[in-house]
Amino acid sequence: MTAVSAPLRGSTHRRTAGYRWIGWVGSLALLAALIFASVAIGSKDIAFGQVLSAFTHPGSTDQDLVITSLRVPRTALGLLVGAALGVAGALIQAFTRNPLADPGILGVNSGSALAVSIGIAFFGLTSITQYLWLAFAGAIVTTVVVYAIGTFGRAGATPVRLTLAGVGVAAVFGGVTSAISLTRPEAFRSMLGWSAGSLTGPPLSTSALIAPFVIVGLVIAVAITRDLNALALGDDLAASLGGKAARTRVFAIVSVTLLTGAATAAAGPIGFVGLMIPHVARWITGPDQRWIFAYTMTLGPCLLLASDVIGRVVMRPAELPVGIVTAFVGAPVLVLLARRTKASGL
Amino acid sequence: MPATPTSRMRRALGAIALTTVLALTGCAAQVSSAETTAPSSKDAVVKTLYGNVTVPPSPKRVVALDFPESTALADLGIKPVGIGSYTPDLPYYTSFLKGVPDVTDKSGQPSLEKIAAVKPDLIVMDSFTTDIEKNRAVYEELTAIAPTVVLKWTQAAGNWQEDAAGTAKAVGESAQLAKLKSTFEANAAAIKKKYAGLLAKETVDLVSGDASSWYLYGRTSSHGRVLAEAGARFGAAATQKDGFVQYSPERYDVLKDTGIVIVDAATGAAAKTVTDSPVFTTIGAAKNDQVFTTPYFFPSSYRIANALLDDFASALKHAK
Repeated sequence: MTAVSAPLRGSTHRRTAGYRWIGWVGSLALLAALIFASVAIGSKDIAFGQVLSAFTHPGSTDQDLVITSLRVPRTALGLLVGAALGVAGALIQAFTRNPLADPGILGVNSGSALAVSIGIAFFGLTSITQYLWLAFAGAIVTTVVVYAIGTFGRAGATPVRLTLAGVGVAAVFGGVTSAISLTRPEAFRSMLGWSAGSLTGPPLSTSALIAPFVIVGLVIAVAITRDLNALALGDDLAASLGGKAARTRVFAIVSVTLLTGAATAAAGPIGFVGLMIPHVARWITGPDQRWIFAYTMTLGPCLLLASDVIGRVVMRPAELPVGIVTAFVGAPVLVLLARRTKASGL
Repeated sequence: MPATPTSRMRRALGAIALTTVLALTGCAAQVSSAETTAPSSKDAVVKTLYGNVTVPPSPKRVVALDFPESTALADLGIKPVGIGSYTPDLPYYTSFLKGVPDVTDKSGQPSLEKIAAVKPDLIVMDSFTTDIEKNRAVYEELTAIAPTVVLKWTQAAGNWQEDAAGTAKAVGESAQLAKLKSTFEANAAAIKKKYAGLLAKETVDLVSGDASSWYLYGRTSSHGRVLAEAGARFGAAATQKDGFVQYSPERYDVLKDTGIVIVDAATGAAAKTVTDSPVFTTIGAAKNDQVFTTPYFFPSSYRIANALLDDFASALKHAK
């Protein structure tokens, strides 16, 4: 991470690299605390000693299973999904140069949802493990469709055209999804939990399945952070600085698709993380994409895990799906940030 | 994004959803030949939520806007001329009510136009799809078409027996319904007697669930009432006042001492979201292979209640 501390040439940052490093380590510490909370706190009260013994002497008592088979998997999934959505959000906001963009703006969520609804309605799928791949395939196909529509014609794939294509495709796919799910409401009970956005349910193997895609997506994202910085100056200036705008955009789209597709396939369309976390990151770091990447990596999972823990305790003995809590937690923070910082300039 | 809906809400949503589709696909309005019934001097008077309503003595063209009424009519062998969008998924009802037009609009509300088109001489309904209790304007518009009998709706059709009785009274078939009721009670009593020993020894709980939540149903739920009638003693739900309580998958341990667990699912495979949940596998009923399934949760008519009793009897037969 040595390159990260080099400030962007020509920019005027008040905050020093040291300040950012301390902040980032702080966010790591926060994440560690939330990981612990996510394992220790839940609907069922389990004493601290019991939590530890579930790891040291794993047994098959219901308490051990709550820890090892329910809380550990959802914590792992929360880490992956949070990082994926946070980073994807930062990429898409940089890519579209629009602070209101979220990872769903290219239609990825709607493609996943459509594929899942087709699987449930026509292939009789009933569980997350069965429709994981379908959701992921739906995300990828949608991105290809959006990119094809967005690049059609002479103007090529400008961010505005891609965004419009994404919004259009999402609307169409959303309509088709509704039409399909309305035909057999009973069959769609299993999709209800997924479509609210939830970390409950998928076993640890689901995290293992999506991890490679998330990792590849993150690697691509970190590789293009420098080019994204150039892109922020506008295409002409980026070109004069040696940036390859078109190539950077393709990589950004690939990364967003992998990250959002994998996250959505496993946990359903979780909103707000991808929208809000990049704002928080920019507020702390300023506009350098390299720092934004580092912060979204840690803050995304922080928001998701904190929301998940809150969702487990506010409605005991029931739980609120994390997708609902992220909005509750995220909206006030976003409003506060927007009021304080002129929307953390892109 | 909606909060995880309860099963009751799901059913309501499902019904609304279905309406939309039926309306969108232009569910063919097969209006049977019109025949108007002349008002008779022997008109009957029925007690409704809007006071006493005078109905024709033997109505021939009945619109049943909600499923407790349409299924009650089907149980009595009366084919309505118009129904609402949701009908419980029982093959008998699907075939009996086949071709009966859905007289609701895209949003599941009564379509005055469609209702008028089938020329009813009686309308029966409750507040399942329309909050008719609070909506006098709609009630009056319906009354302008035909005498309208509004019955009480309670959560998850918990009072379906009263709705069936009200429907039967409105169509002058109370005697016939009494027979259905006594058959149902006899079925329940037979189970209670045959499995008295087992039911005294083992408690029963009714459970439904998805990946992120599960629901425990008490004796005030419509299916809880049916099982209680057949002698079931509830385990975890013994002291539960509400029709259902929502739980986290971490809390399947509340079922740990329940003898027999009945899961809302058509097949064992469909019940897997519940039965494969890590903590569920540790409860006594799961370890002793005492978990059974039935698709007849939320019975809303004697026919479904009997089907639920059959499944309960079969579970008890296989229980140890």
